[in-house]
Amino acid sequence: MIGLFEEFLSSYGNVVDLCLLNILLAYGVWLALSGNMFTLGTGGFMALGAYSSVFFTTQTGMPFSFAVLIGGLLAGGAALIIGLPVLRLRGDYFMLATFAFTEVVRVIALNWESVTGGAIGIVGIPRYTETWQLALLAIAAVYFAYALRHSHFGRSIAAIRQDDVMSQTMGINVLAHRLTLFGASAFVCGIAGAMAAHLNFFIGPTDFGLLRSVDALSYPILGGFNALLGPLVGAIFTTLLPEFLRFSNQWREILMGLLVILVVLYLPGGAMSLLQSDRLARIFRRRLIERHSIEQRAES
Amino acid sequence: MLELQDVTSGYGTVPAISNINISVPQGACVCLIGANGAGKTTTLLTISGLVRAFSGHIKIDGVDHTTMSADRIVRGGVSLVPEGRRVIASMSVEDNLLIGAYVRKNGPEIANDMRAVYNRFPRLFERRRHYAGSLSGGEQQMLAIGRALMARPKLLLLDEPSMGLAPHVVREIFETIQEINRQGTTILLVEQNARKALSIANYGYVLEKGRIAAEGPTEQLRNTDTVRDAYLGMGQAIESTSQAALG
Repeated sequence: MIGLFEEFLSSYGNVVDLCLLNILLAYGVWLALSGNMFTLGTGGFMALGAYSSVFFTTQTGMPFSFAVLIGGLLAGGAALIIGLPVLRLRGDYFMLATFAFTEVVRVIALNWESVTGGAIGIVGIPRYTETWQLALLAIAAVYFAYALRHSHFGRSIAAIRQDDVMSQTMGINVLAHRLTLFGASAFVCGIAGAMAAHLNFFIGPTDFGLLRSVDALSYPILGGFNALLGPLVGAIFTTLLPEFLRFSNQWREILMGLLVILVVLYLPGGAMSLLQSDRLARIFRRRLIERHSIEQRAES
Repeated sequence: MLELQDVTSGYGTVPAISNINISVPQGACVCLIGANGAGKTTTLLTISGLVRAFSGHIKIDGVDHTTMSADRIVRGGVSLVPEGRRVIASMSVEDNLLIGAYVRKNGPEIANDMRAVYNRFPRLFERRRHYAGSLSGGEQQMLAIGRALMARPKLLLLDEPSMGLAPHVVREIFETIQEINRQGTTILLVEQNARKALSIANYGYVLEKGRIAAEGPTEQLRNTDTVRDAYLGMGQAIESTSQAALG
């Protein structure tokens, strides 16, 4: 049994690691989304965590765990600084501002050659990230999301998400709540970036661009934002799908896009709404009723 | 308790109310009546810090609230029940009430007040586990008032509590408001239903185009021509306009 498990890990280890990493990222983005913040800053925050942690482990010989923590804190700190002006923006403007942040980080990474290696990136990063560490972080993220939903703070952010003016009339400091969430989201993304850097042997400026931010945003949305396990399902689904579609290289991207459209069209609450709502139950019930009426007609 | 001194306020650069003076004494029930767009809601939003005053001063118990943030004003004992029964539809009735007590920390006292709200509105107790969005209009208004009470306000600001409700529900809501006032909470009530508002308040202000057109104790105000003609619908103005329409 254990032998089987080891065999599985050795051939699919990369995919498992990637899934766990993306789960972490999905919950990071979920934090921001739960405060109505459609962030495209994920790539930028990951880059901050990745580059800084690599700098500390390779240049100063700092222990890996400290470097990861510092990467997360740096990303979180950056979020608090840019958050103060940016969080006053709404909807599309907030999205654009966070996208601009990701671009600024990318351009800095491209030009600050002494630290980031410029366009070539940093090669030969020691592989410190272990699968169990990623699993632990992913579990911690799910638990944190669970605890948050059932806390006083969680209730307040649910109120803010629905109606922020009304929340203010109940004495909730909306800006402080959203800033905290944005900072926490960036912290998680920074940690994910640091873990990713020490998993991949190589990092470059293109790893953390717009595409990464959009991908991360799609995990909780596809999986179902309202369900606790929605981001997890979305992350696993989106990570595994390209692997399953490997049989046809040209069709892969097209099929992937098609599936995303189908989910958005028919399951607007995300994949988890299949389990949550009575959608399936309703379909079955309709079948039953149809069969029942057919039988009755046959009898009469 | 509440003093508005020469308050001018509005949106962007356009003032919606100008040089308003309002005074609400401790324990009173004061109403603010006026037509659509007269600036009633703006006045309440300015008092609760959701809209910033351009000039003038707002004082509560002698403390200047003019530039205070909205959440600190709630902590200072002023709660607003906003227009249109804004409850949190996706949360249960009980969670809505709990979030109303957001600014308070004392658990047992909160539980006590929750019981008091349920006693006041037995319908809410029956439906405490239901989603707030599934309540009827009147129940949602009760929930909105109950939620504001959970913050234990000294001053309760009510914006159009009768809006869109059936007459018997309106009667019930107004009885409740009167009772809350009798139990010691100061009330500033904004209403389009002037007759109802004047019947429960002890002092009234009439707002027209952002200015105070008339004020006085409600028995007096009810008998002035401007109020009778324009807001109670039993004076000459109504007759002459209907004649004009017929003619």
